[in-house]
Order: sequence, then structure tokens, then C-alpha cells
Amino acid sequence: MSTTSKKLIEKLKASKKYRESFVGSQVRVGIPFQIRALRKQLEWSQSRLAEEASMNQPTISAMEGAGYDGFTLSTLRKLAAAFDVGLIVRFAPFGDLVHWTDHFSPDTFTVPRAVDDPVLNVYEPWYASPIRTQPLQQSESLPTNVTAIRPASSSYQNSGHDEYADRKLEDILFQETGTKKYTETRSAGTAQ
Amino acid sequence: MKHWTFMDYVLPNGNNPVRKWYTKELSADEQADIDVLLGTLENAKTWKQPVYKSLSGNAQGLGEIRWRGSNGRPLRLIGFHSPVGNKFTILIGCTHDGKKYQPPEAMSSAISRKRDLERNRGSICEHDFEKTD
Repeated sequence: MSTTSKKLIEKLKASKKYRESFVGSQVRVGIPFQIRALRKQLEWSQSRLAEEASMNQPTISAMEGAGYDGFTLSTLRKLAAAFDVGLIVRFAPFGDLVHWTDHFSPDTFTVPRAVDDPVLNVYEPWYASPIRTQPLQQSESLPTNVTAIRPASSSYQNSGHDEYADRKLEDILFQETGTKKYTETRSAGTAQ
Repeated sequence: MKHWTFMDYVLPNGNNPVRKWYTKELSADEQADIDVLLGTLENAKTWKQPVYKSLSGNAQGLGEIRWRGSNGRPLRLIGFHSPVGNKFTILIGCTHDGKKYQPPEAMSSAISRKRDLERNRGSICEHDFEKTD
């Protein structure tokens, strides 16, 4: 545990008033560093962020100054939307705040945008799944050595599915059957 | 990773004017703000505006840590980075209303204190706001 953590813990233990103030400081002082770091991460100017967040540049400038006292949840949601990142607002033990204060660095603070968020971008091609999740929608069975079928749900049809994957399936089916009998039609979303 | 250690200037008589300013002049909110601010700057390799500004002219070699306290009043910690040891020595705490420091002699005191340290008058101690005079 760092010296900073020890000092903060002693002060937090000693005074409820200080504990209240410390929570506020996480917002007044901590958030400006985060906003600036995220803006720099995207190589945006203050004007660009202002435009993205439907604010004005002087407001962004003020928000990046330590001690800014005008943050509201609405403001933070706008900024999160502009950056296309999440925002966590939750009650927490003081130990979490101490840990955050002790480890946060504006040099290294980054948050992946949705487009770069690894959790949102885990993509497993449906045909790679060994498990068939949809019943066959036809009277004829697919060849036994064809193990996948495109889901027939309408949500799939509207999900911006992978055209390459569709063509790939057609190739597979054609190769396996030697006929186009089993070629899928994209419009129906079922094997025919 | 901690890049910096904060030090306080200590007068030749042993009093710590930075600590006194912190405990006597600042509200609880402002005290907590300093703690979070310095905790963050410890982890930042380079300090940048708007939180930090290098000074020029008579104050060459000094820099200001800047933030807004209660009711938006601008607060300053004036000090300098040591050439070795990754230390930042805080010489004085003050407010800065428009173009004027409060106390008015804040900048001249900071310059004088830095000069004193260079002449081995006065001393420094590790910054520790939890103690009071």
C-alpha cells in the first residue's frame, strides 16, 4: 500500500466530514482528468468534443479544469455518449475510492469506444458453432456431414449478418451435396 | 506507478506554512480536492495545463498547480520540480483572483523561499496534510 493510500485512509477513518468531501472530490477533481484523457485519446479538440456532446467549447474547457463543480448526471451521460463509452454510477466502499485515487493516472487512462470494445466485438461465426440451435425448417434433411444451418429467426435476417458467411454456406452445401438443392435463400433464412 | 513525491517547504523556525494554509484557510471540500489532485499528479509523468503551468519572468523555474475550490475560487500551489529525485516542493499555497494573488506577496514569498533553499536556509519535509500544527 502506498504512502498516499495510508494517508487517505487515516483521514477517512478520522472524519465523516472528510469522507463526504472526498466523495465530492472524486467528481470535482477526478472527472476533469478523465475527460481530458479521453479527449486526447481520440485526438479531439475541445471544439470537436463540444460538437459531439452538444455543448460549447468554453464549457468543455471549464470541465477539464480541476475543481469544476457543475457536473450533473445528465452532463456525464452526454459526455459518455459523445465518447461512445459506458458510464458507471454506483455506491461503493471508501476503499474503492482510495484504490482508484492511488492508481489512476491521466497518462494511461483509456476507455475503448464501443467499436473497439472487446466484449462487444466477440464474433463467432454462426456456422462455426458445433451446436445446431434451430430446428430444420424443411421436409428434407441436410446431409449428415453438414452440421450447421443458418437460424431462421427474423431477428437474424435483420441483424446485418455476414454476406460472406452466407456465400460460404452456399459453397459448403453445394460441395457437400453436389447440387443446389440445399442452397439457402437469404430472404427466407431457412434451408430449402 | 508513482512518478512524483510532494515535499513541503519548512521555515527556518520549523513551521510548515503550506500545512498551516491547508488547515486554516481551506474548507473541508477544498482539502479533499487537494488530496485527490496531488494523488493524481503523483501518477502523472508530465503535468499539463490547465492543472499545471510553468511560470516565467521572475518566477522562472517555478510552476503552479491550479484548481478551483469552493464557490469556484481559483487556488494555487506554487512550487518547483527538483532536478533530481522526482520531487515537487510546494513553497506556498494561495488564491489567485483575476491577476492578483492572495496573499499579495505570495509569488515573491515563493521566489524567496526557493532562493533560501538553494542557499541551504529553510528545509523541506515530505508533504503530509494529515498532521496539523
